Amino acid sequence: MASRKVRVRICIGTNCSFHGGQLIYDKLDSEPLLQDHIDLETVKCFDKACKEGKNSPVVEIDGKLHARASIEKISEIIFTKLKKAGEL
Amino acid sequence: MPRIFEKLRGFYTPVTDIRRRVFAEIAKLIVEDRATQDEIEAIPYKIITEDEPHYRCCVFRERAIVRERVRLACGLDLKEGGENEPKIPDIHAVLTGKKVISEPLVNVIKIGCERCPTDSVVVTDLCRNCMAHPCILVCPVNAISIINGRSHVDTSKCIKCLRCTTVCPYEAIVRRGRPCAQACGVDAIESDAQGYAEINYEKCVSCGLCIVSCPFGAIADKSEILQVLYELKHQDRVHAIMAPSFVSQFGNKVSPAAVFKGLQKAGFKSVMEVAFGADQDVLIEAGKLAKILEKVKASTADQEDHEFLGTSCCPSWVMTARKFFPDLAKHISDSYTPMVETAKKVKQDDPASKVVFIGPCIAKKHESLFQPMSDYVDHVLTYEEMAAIFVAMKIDLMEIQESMPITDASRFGRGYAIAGGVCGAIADYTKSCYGFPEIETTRADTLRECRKMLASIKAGEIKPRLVEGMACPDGCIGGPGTLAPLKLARAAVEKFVKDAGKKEPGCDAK
Repeated sequence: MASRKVRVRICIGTNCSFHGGQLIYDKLDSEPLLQDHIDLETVKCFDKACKEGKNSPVVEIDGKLHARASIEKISEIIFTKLKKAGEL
Repeated sequence: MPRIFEKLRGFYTPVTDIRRRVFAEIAKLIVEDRATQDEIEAIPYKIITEDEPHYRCCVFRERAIVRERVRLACGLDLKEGGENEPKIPDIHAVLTGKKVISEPLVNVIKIGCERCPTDSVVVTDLCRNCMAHPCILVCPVNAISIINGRSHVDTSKCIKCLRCTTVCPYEAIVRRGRPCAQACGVDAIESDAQGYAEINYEKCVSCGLCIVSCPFGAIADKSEILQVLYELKHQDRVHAIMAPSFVSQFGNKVSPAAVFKGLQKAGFKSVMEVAFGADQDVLIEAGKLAKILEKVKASTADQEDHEFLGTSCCPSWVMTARKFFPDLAKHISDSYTPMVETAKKVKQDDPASKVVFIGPCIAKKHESLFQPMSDYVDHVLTYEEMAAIFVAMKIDLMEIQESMPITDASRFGRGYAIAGGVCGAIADYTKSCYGFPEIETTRADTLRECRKMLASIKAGEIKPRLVEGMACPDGCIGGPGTLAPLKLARAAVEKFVKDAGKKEPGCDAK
């Protein structure tokens, strides 16, 4: 069991979802390398952060919000965190 | 190995991003009442904002490509080569609720096409010029020789048997080709004199798989997003009919009821499952199949002409059969697709209304261009285009709490979304209601496989009585207009099939 888990929350409101949020969630959810290392959650909306629309999709990693997230940016952050913590 | 059209699926690529932003920008202009020529011409500048190009030689070309996408998304024809200009002077013709799109639906945006090398076998620099050189030994046509210290394939001799690719110990020999052409199951993608991809419309059946397979986003279809939004603004009797594959397409945490409610919020007067029409289709096809089976049973002699019933719900499959196997095509059922059956019912109940089909399918856009289908179905949208409308209207499906019962269809019709579901339902009904214990059934998905299947029927290698064809991988859930990854879509549809409250049609319905 991993001791350090990265907490990832992804907005899947319709706007964020349309601009890739849902697919980021699906990719992370089905990524075998991350199975025991992340707490993955979907969020209805980060209110102000994604309501404007131009930040979509918004993803929160360990409490920090990331605007216009993409799977490559998000995985890089997660993997860097896990490597630093010696989990991977 | 994933098939070519599965490689990009499930990723939000920069190609997806540009496509969706074009849809969303256009939708926003209509929703916010700002759809002037100036605003529409400004879209490429909103999408390509930076001074430096990201994907092409310069921002001017990037914007020119986006402009072509805008034209298609508005329902206009391409304007290419010397014709291309920064203006869209003909935009006024499509700012209407009327149907404006016409053939060709699927278009190569030539300035976006990177002229990928055509199908050939090539030796890469992994070649070690080894002593054994099994590639040379295995080649049946002596197309391989050593040139400049490396194996070399003479393309004029090569017959693409691919033996050399499997035998090389360094995996140094590969087949390369154009993703669009590989995705096309009817070999409709050719090259023009300059080497740009060109669609042969004699062969094209508008399945749309090339659109989602081109890694440069150089192929796009026309959209009716603008006209549907006009209808919604100016008409209060616009009905939506949802293809059976719709569950989970707008997010796997969005319930089917939330999708229906969301559509009503968007201005659709009513929403109906197209699985309703699929249920009707089961009855019609089962009746036809039973007749064939009776006839076969009655005749003792082995008939020369092998009789069977081909399903008719996938327009691309039907067109493929007609174009490539005209002698077998008469066995394909001539009944309406579930889309048309459902629209017919809506128009019976509300004759002066408009019907918009929302689905995963580009071929349905093609189908709805022609009479009598166009009398029933006014417009066709993909799930992706509908999602852009939700975004533009700021309708968040995740926030919809209200529920509503959805009871238009039985498990039969709902199962039409997945390959095997159509012939499964028809066979089930024919067995239980017409008393045939065994029905020889065969099916194929993707048009290349469909053609192989028809070829084996023609050659007499297989003798099925019921034949299902689907153009998209795994059926409609694999369609080019879908949003959800295949695995999730399949699970969601299977659950929705199980949850069907309506009982499947009984034998008295025949």
